[in-house]
Amino acid sequence: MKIGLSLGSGGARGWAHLGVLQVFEENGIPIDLVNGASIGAVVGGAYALYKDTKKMFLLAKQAIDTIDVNYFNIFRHSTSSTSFINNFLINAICDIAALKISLLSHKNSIKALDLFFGDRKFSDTKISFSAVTTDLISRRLMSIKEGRLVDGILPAISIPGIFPPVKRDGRLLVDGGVLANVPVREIRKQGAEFVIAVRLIDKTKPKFCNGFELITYLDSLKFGEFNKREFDVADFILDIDTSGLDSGKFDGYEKALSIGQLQAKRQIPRLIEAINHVK
Amino acid sequence: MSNRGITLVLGGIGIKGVAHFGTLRAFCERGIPIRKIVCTGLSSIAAAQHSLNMDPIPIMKHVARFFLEHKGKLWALERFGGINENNEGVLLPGLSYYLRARTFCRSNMRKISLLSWNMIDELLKGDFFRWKDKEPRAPIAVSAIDLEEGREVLLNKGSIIDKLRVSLSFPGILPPVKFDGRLLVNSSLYCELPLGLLSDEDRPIVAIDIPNGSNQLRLKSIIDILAYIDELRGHEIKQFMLNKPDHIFTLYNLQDFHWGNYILMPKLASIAYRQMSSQLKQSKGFLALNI
Repeated sequence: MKIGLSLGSGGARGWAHLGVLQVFEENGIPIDLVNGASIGAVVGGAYALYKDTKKMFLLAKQAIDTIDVNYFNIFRHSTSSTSFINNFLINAICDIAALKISLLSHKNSIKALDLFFGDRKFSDTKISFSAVTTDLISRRLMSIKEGRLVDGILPAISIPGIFPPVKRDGRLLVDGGVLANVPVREIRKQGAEFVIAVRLIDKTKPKFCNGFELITYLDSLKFGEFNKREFDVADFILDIDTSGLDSGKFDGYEKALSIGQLQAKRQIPRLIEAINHVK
Repeated sequence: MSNRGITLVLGGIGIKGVAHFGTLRAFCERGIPIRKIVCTGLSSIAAAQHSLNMDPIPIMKHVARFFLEHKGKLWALERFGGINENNEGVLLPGLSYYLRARTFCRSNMRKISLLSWNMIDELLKGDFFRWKDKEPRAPIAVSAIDLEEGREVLLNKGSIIDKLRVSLSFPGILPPVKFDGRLLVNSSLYCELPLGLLSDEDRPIVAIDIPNGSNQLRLKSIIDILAYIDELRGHEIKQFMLNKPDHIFTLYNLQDFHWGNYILMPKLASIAYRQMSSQLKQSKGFLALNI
């Protein structure tokens, strides 16, 4: 039986995936295929390549210590304010938002991905791996599983608005999380017979300080509907509650990792039982 | 299938909802019994007009006049109507496009909405207020999002004015409405065809879909890409629900009717009327429902 692992988006909260993988390693959970969108593609790709969570942890530490990969949510909690600086910042952000296609370039992301993967290819991975992206032209999900890992993972982490879409072979690619936070259906297509989906939960109550927050919230409800469809076809859902973690702050990786570890440990007996039951 | 009449679900986002003045006229002329109208956004005004058996022409004029009076405040929304589509590379439209996007962004970053309820209440309490005690021909159910619960709800109770307020609370344009202990906004940004909460009891369900039409990739700014993603996700949600209705009518070629083209509202309704009349005559699928 081929066991597939599907890792989803969540920005920096996704370091919790690394904690989950450590627990899998300790318990000898066999993984035959991995896929992921957004941060799930980075962690999943690194696991598929090295199959060594200690090495992954060191690489993550090195990347975060040397490269600034933090980003911030431009629309969160901003309101009209008498503060000159706050007003100035809001205006500046709006000017950029109206003029540029993204807040940041890919420069630092490429540096970080290079550090993780170098020139390795999808064919070099120890476990079959695919990075899931959304093609804005065909409006469909697309799994990349050929070529250099850096080139395949870069579009999968291109969060719209934060990073620019990646143009490739007549396609315009962004983060797969746009249409599938945890791309379970895609890993089924790759041949997985038993799919473990890692769901990063954020129970933070939304605030409705401005119009954008309201619109973004409605968008998150659509996102929830997509997730439901993905999780409906998963065999085991491993829930990790990452509430309180900032998805844009990658330097909080140690906390995210230990949350992932702790919560995965609690659920591992149930997972082993589910796998044995199907076998 | 049923002689109690159909549940009619009205789709369409933004000012396209006005098309339903025409679709409802076509249904009425064919004598098709309507048991319930499910709507959200501007289509609720058309639904209310039909349900209360009012003359549509003055109502449409009121709506168009309201938008024209507040055109200045809604100016930034017009960028979503593709003002620059045919003027690529021309400096002035380019600058106008940028200024609209920036204004839209600045307004929405600072406050909860572009317009306030005072403006709408003037309209609702004026000419539309006489609707409040009228008995509707067909009940109206407004689809909304309960912001605290984070889910779609169908508003069956309340006066027609309450339902119109909830229905018009388009996120970012008008503030959410507190009603019946809930904080509500209209659901068209979640799904432009409010089918989510209908069940077998509502059959036969007939939906009127108006494709958004903003599918072309015109990604010049962060606002553009976020709006595109929003539209893409909305389209996907709609696809999940398309197996619910017993029949779907689609109104095509209405994409030219967008924010800013308020003066064309009566034309939009008359095109929809013509398309709907012809589809009602010819659609074998609909005729097979034996309504």
